[in-house]
Amino acid sequence: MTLQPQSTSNAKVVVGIGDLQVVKADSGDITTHALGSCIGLTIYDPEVRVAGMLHYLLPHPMQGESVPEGKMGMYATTGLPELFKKSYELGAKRENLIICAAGASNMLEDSGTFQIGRRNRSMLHKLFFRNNLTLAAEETGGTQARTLKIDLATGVVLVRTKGNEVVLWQP
Amino acid sequence: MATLEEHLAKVTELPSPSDALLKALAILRGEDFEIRELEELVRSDPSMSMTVLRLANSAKYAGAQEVGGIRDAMSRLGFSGLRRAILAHQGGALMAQAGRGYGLDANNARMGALAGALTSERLAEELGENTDVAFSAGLLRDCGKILLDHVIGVQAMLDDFKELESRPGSEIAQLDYERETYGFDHAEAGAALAKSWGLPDAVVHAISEHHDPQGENLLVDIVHVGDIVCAHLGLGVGMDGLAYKMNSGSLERVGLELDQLSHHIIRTISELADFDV
Repeated sequence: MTLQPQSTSNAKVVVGIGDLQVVKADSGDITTHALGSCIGLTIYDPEVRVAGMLHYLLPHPMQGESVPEGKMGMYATTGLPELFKKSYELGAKRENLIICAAGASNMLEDSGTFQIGRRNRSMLHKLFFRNNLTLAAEETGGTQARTLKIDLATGVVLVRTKGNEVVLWQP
Repeated sequence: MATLEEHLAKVTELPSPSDALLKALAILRGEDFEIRELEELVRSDPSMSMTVLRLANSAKYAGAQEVGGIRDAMSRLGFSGLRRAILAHQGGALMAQAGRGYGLDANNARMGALAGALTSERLAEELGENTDVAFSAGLLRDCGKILLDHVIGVQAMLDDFKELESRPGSEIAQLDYERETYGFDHAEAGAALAKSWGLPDAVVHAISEHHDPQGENLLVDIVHVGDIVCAHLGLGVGMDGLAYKMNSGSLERVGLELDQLSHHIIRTISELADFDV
């Protein structure tokens, strides 16, 4: 039996709710399931093939709350810097990063006082504006639940909603 | 369109909970059990034993020393902890079957059930309500989805969702859609199923009203808020998505504003890790 040449790495990464992961790999993918009012963010540097994903639940920690190392991914204000930091550690460059976002759905509210999905999206846009970053593609809002996936070989970002998979970004 | 009763009359074999789950639920009705009976249930099932071991070492029960053996784990949990572990394990397995017609995979369905149980239990504790009843009702709130899969059919339901998708116009609330399409909704179906299983009235009532609390019963509000937390976390959510009505009266009665709701979302996702498989 002849062994086929293996790619240097074939990463299959699942990002949990409130978690973040960054990998450098030639092939494979990163996926997150169950985006409700949460936001899933993908970053990708095609030059060094570094990709990352964040699945945050809320815009920011509560006042006075300290966020332990392993829980940074729960909030936009802590998860975003951590996601970028980890990608730089693996050689990604800020100017190369292709960033996409999906999620931020809302329930049907009679009072409209909660709107966590909308708040999550506002925080994302605020942080991007402040840091002079742009989103390459975004699919947010509505009431649907989403699955977000990035292909590590190509950087293609896919969003799965109601059984349909659509391309959110491709080179 | 056939009514729920007509559907039920045609079904010869209804999906039913395991003996272990029924036993754990019977305690809620005040039936007496020796702790030895629960211990035997756990011992007879290796995967349930694993759940007990994990729970005994989780933040809620953990002492200074880690427990390695099932005997120590069971004595650390005690009667109520053991019953809770059995409910979570067996109820999680039952609820993993719920929602295939909603395009929900087994793991998400199970996590959605457990997340609802944990949130409802925590709220009940804060409000001085019965935590066991809240845990059970939160766990089984969507059991009606099992019945829908059964009487309507998984593929037929998925096809109906596709058809809904192609319909122009504004978003329809999921419960209205179910009543319009099938003549009944999953909350009503769940109550019928729970009743046929002989579950306590309080649990049956909470399942029946969990999307539409009328304000006459705090337990219903608690389970409704548990469901809201799950929807935000995307747990127990399939093609129906988040198209459910959030009742602000419930949130008020339970005493939650945005900060507290956020707090519960974070707590639930952290506690859920104890039940991860």
